[in-house]
Amino acid sequence: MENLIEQMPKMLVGQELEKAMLSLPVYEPAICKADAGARLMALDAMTEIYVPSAMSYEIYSKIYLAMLHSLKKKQTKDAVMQGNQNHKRLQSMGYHSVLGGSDSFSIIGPSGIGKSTALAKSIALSGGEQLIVIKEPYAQIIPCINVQCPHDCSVKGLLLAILSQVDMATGTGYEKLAVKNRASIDNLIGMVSQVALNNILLIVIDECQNICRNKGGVNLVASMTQLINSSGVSICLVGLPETEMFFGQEMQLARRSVGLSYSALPCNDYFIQFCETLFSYQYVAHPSKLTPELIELLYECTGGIIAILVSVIMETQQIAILTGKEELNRETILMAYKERLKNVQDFVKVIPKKRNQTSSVVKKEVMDIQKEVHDDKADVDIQATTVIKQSRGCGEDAVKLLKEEGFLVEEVSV
Amino acid sequence: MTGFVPSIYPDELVYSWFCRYYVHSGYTASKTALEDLLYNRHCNPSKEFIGHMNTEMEQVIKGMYPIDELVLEHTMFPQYARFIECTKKKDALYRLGNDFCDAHLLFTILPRSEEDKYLKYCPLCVTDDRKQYGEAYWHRKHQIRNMNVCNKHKCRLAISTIPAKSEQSFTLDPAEIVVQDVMVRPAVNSLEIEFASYMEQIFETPMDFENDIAIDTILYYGLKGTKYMSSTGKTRNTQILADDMQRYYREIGLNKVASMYQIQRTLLGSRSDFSVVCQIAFYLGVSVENLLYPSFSEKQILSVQETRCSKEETPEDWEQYDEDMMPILEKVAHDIYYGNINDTGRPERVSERLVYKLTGIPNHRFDNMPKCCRILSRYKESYAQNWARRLVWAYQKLKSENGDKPVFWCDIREISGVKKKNADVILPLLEQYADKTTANAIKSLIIPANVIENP
Repeated sequence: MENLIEQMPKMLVGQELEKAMLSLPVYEPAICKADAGARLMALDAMTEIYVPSAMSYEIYSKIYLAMLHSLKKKQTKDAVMQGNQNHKRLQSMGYHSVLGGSDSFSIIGPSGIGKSTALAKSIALSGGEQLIVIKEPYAQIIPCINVQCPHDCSVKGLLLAILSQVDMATGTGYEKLAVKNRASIDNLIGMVSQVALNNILLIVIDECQNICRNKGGVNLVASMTQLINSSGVSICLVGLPETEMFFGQEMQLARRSVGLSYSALPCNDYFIQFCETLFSYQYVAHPSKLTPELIELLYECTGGIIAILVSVIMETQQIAILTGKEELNRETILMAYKERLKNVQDFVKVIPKKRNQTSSVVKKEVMDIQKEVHDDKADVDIQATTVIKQSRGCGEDAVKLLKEEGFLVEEVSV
Repeated sequence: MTGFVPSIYPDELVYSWFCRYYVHSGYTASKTALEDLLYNRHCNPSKEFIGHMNTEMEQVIKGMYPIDELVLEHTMFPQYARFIECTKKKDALYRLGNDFCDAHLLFTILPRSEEDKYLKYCPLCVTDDRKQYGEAYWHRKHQIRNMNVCNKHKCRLAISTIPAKSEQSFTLDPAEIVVQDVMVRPAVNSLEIEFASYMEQIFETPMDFENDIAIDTILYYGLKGTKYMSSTGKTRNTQILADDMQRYYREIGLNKVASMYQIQRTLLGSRSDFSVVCQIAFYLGVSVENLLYPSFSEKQILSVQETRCSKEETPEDWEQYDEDMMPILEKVAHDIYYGNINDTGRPERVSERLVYKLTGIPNHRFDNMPKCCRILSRYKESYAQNWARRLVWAYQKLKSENGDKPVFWCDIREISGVKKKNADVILPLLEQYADKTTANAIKSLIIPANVIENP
């Protein structure tokens, strides 16, 4: 067992981890003097930029510890007993679980915040595709298998995809064998359970939101539950926030989807640092400085979504170069936002800047607050509670009434 | 390419190892696992040995364990090869591990008794294995023929439903799936436990590839001094030994007691079956150390060989041998018939016994020599005919020596050796070998004149 753990890369923390995750392409300031074509081509380097955040570190530690936990279960007595139980189920001889399914977790967050990138980086630093080969027993252990949840929530599709990934990594022929034998779903689950028990540390299932969008999703979740229970392997479910609602329906699903949940970035130090990093990669003829106003503008345009932020900067620079404006400023940013990012505008929700708050508040709707001055001084002393009582009595909207009375109203989502 | 092969457990059969490979690899049917294990689907693997593996699996296996170690410690090789010659032992070890040769071509594998037809297991060993490893497996030493007792737990072995033979409908049957919870039956017969322990010690002792003293030599000195061997050491009372062993081992309840023929063949060195040798050695009180690590001088070994006819003297080509012996046999038969073997010249009856004696041919060889038999049949005669010939010869000899002097019956009797009491059968034959005058003269000597006149 000690030999197995030694074969995993060392766990990184702190600056070491940050340095390992940080990815900054090479930038030559002289590029600003090159011709437009060269600058447009060089602009593509911005897609390689990755600055790790707290989310990245959390995902890395979760991934690494899940792999380690799975590795510790390999070649134990319980694993042997579980293998025998899986075989008995394949032979329709009864079954009872030995290892249990406590090692599944989720990474949920909106699209574009960097989940998949952070995941890929974490997996690469935790061993990635480097097989752990042991001689006795003979086994080729794959640190991580990354599959996508099928669009039609096909159980067979998912299981065959897992086997296919294993075959590609180890050179085995499990998928071919399963297809040749026309294995049923139950047999496939048994087969994948055995393969996962012996050869896989972590299975990452991406795009789990497909489960919510398809009527076969319930079936798929049930099969995944069965797989988790009988393989003892760690399973990571990655998906959009709607996945959270789906898993919240039942206790056994909720238990198996305990994990990390993220939202778009607030306008915090990390966001500012990231903007500064992006601004250090300017390919326009007249590089400009990043000002607080630009930061606020960028935040309002992107809603804290890192992917959109990178796209905005890239598109802005493209427009600046193509139109000849050659400058990153408010004008070019708004031009890029309005012309190139029309489709994302409806999905961007701006989070207000944090003011000494311990928890982040998601603003559902930004209301245009107008201060109304009432001439009638007697109405100044009307309390909010009175208005609310009145609204209840009339059955009217309390917010509307309060505004009419001159109260400053701010709606928040809890 | 194989993704996972479990470790082999101590004293586990290679067959059991392959069964666990089948369990833990996720195959739905043993046929699919066998296709990945075997060289081709027509190869029959072996439950007692390794079988013909495909190249890929062979590489994986050889990467995990040395092949010799697998054959010596995880197959039934010690059972079949323990007492054979060193050169054959080494050859068998190489061919089983590298050529994946069929074991039937290397050893004499006897038919199984009813109790040995199925794989055996110890219920308490199953419990221990599950506690230690998480699963049960087929132990090698439980599969020794005539082994009925687990030496570790001193309980009787249970018999499974899995055939021990590697027959055509070969399937992988893992012990963890097959074994059932059975009642533990303690072994009560102390002799049975002792014999099981004896066999196990012999089985587990590391194989000796240098000491080439034949097992029959070891057993010869085990017999020496017992009632089963004469004081000269040239005669063995094999029947008595076989009968005594039958009674002895029946009391123990052994599955298959060695037959008289098996014991004989083993004592003569032409067989070396593990179970038979163990039975003989244990009965005679030969210790494990003396059986496996004997030390005899060259003289002692040679003296054993001299007590029996070596098989190497048997002619390989009987037809040629028959052809070669014809002229010799003709001369010997002629000499016997016409009296050339005697100083007196008295003709003798040509019998097989006399021919064997004079030619030095071992007994019963004429059964395989038809041409020589035809020669002998030409000289065949009855006792009466021979007596008649002798009388004629004796009369003619005495007549020639005595001249005109009369010939008396007592002189004829002295040199011919023929007795008057056989006169009834002799007299009618005299005229076949002499003229009428001589025949009558001989008749007159045998029978008084008054009897001849009045027969």
